[in-house]
Amino acid sequence: NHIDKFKLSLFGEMGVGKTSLITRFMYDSFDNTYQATIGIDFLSKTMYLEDRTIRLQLWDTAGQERFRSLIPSYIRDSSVAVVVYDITNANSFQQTSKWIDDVRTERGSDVIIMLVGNKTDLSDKRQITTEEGERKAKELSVMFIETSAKAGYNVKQLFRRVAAALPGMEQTEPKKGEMTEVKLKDTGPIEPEHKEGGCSC
Amino acid sequence: MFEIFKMSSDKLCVGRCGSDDFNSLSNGYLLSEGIRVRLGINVVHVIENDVCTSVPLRRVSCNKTDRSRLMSTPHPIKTRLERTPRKQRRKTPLVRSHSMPESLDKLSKRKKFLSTIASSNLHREDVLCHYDNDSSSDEGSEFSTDQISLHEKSLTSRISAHYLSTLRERPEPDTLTYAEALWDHITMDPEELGFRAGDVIDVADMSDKDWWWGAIDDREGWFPATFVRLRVNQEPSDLGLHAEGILEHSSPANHRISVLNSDQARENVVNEIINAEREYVKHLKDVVEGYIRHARKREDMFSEDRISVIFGNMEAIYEFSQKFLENIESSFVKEHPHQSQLGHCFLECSKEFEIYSDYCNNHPSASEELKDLYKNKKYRHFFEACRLLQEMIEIPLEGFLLTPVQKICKYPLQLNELLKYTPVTHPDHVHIQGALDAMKKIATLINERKRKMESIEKLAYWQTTVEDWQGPDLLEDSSELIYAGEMNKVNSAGWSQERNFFLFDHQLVYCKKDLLKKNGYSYKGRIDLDDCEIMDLEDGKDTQYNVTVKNAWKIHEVSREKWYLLVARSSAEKEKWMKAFTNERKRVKEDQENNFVPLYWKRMVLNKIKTSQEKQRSGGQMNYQKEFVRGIPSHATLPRSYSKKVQKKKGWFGFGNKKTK
Repeated sequence: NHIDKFKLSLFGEMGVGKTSLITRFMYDSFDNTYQATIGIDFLSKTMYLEDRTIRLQLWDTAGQERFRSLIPSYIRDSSVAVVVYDITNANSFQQTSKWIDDVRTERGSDVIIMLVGNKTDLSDKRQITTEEGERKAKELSVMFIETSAKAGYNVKQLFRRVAAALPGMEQTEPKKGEMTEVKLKDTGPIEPEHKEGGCSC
Repeated sequence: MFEIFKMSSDKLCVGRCGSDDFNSLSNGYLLSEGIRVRLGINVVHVIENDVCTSVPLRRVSCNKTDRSRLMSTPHPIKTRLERTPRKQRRKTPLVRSHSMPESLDKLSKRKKFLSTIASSNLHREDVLCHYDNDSSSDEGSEFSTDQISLHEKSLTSRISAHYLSTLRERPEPDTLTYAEALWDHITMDPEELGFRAGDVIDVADMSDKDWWWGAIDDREGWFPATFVRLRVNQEPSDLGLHAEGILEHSSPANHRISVLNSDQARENVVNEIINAEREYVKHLKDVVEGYIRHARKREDMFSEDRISVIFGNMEAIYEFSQKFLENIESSFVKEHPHQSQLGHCFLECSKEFEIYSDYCNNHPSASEELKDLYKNKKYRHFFEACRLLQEMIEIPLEGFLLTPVQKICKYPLQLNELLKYTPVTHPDHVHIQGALDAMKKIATLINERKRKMESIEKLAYWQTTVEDWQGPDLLEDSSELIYAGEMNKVNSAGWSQERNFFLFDHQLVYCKKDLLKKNGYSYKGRIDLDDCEIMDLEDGKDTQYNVTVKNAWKIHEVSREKWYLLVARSSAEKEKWMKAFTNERKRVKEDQENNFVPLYWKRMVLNKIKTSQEKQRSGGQMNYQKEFVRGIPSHATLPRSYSKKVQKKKGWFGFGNKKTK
């Protein structure tokens, strides 16, 4: 019953709804009146797909939009990058190119990128058409979806589509049984086995 | 289409009946899962495989603790006090707006039906009904909500009670506190406010803990507080609120948050800040005690150097955070959390938060190192064993190492939130504002330092790629490349030489293209910009050099009494250079004021480069240079992640075509 774990990070300009998307997606596991959205360090959610079960670790970059130098820390090791824009804000849409570029620079093709046009509930203020979003996604060869975190529209689909695109079990993680080998107690020089990695210092 | 929920002691049945007409339920309905449901008096009969179970209808008012509730809605739903709204802003009777959700429309048909029954004094409850607005969701049986409500009094008596209470109440100024619905609240009770998840409710009364009064458009009524959350605003439009609106009495009345409401809201924010801080300190503790301590015991695996590369100054951060948490906790007023004054805690330590800067700068190296180690089974197992021993949640070490980076950026968000619910009259207001500014400044500083750090790394690498370098290292004076391009330099004999110029802070370096190596450079000289004058030249003949020039200028290096005549390719290009020179002076001045780049970093970087060069002598340099040059012309900054890429072998090729990588 091994569960694959994946890191998913959300990027995008301020106020496009990154935190809202996460909150909406996570609802089932919350039942507080006041939902902590800022304070939580680790969010993760298990998803039951047709053929397997995976666990997504969600990393929200809210508050860090301006601190671009710190963002690469999130991109690193992310299996999924969700790049969000606000369909009522053309600038946030333009900026997605840069976010996607940043992700590609860091991760190459080792990453699933989903472009998300959020806030479809504000259709009267829409500035970016669905077609424009689709076109950009196609140009940059990323996935695309429009959502409304507020109305709950397409949010689950967003995460499910991403999850379905994730690679299967190829990367084998260490099996549980192996873990007992390591002794943490200071019992002198144990395990005289050859050093595989070598010391790089 | 209705959905019916039935609770039994250990399970939940869901199904749909194919008709909008609820009446037909009394005749029994075949649900999609082969379950038949029949509505009885006070019970629902559920016939499953010919076995009939009767389930009492849940009455909100008599069902305080129902442990069998399996639904995702908050529970238990507490009894609503039989009381009328404290405030009523509209004296019109409750009118359902046209914009209400479709499902409520259908419910209102039911309402008529039920009110007929009610007025004929038949006490009858109704089971209702959940409208799944995300029915395409497919994680098994997922429900967003249900609400079963009770309709026992006649409508008329309630409405008259409303009017009475309205007369008693003095109208109060409008206040705006928004809550966002988390679950659908479907209700038949005219005093209650029905809504769908995602609706934004204007909350008017939060004096009761469980039931709040609020309005959506024209509708208002009571709703269970657990069904909503107070809006946590991160949208720019709302950020401005407290600056202009909320806190100024002269501002429009509806931009003020009433003291009553903000008390509860403030309490929540205070609690969240403290809890988040506790959690955070716990994570730090786990890493320090669970990983670093064990790593120290295994000198065969972890040299002190390696430990400091992986964990940076996390121990210092842990120590500081403990102290900070103590400060916060001692400022916490347990009986009245909203009175807690937290601002000074941040202000007092604002300088100390700068230790995060070193941590953030080191973080990429930590990730690299960790990634390497994870390739080795022995280390993988060691880390996993550490995690298990410390009983930490299942997040890889990498995740825990990211928390300080995350944390330092979150303080401004939290403080901003706190400020929103801190009225000007609150003694903490000034301090929170100050703390917010201070923490924003720190985050910016840290970000800026990180940027500079990356920049000096690139500079150092670049220097190693230039042949015949002479004189002091680039880093001794400079930390950033500002502009670069090809120009002609006229030498004292009047010959024009093609050179590549690189403008850094404090100096201008010029190189010759190395023809043997593609994109290679050899060092030719430098100009000390701290001690020179730049003189614009009119197009035409220059008497000093005795040449005719266009788009040119001169640089006079005073101390060495040397002159340079530089010629740009075009007037636009010249303009760019002139701007760049101004920029350079500006930057030098800023750096002196802010001390963004401490000297010891440069030493660190030089060391690091030395080691990594020894590590991978082959191949990397040329490519680095190529890329360096590529990055220059447009905006004179380098691809941010370059230095890391050099270390990744697969990154060397195909940089020009990111998509194919």
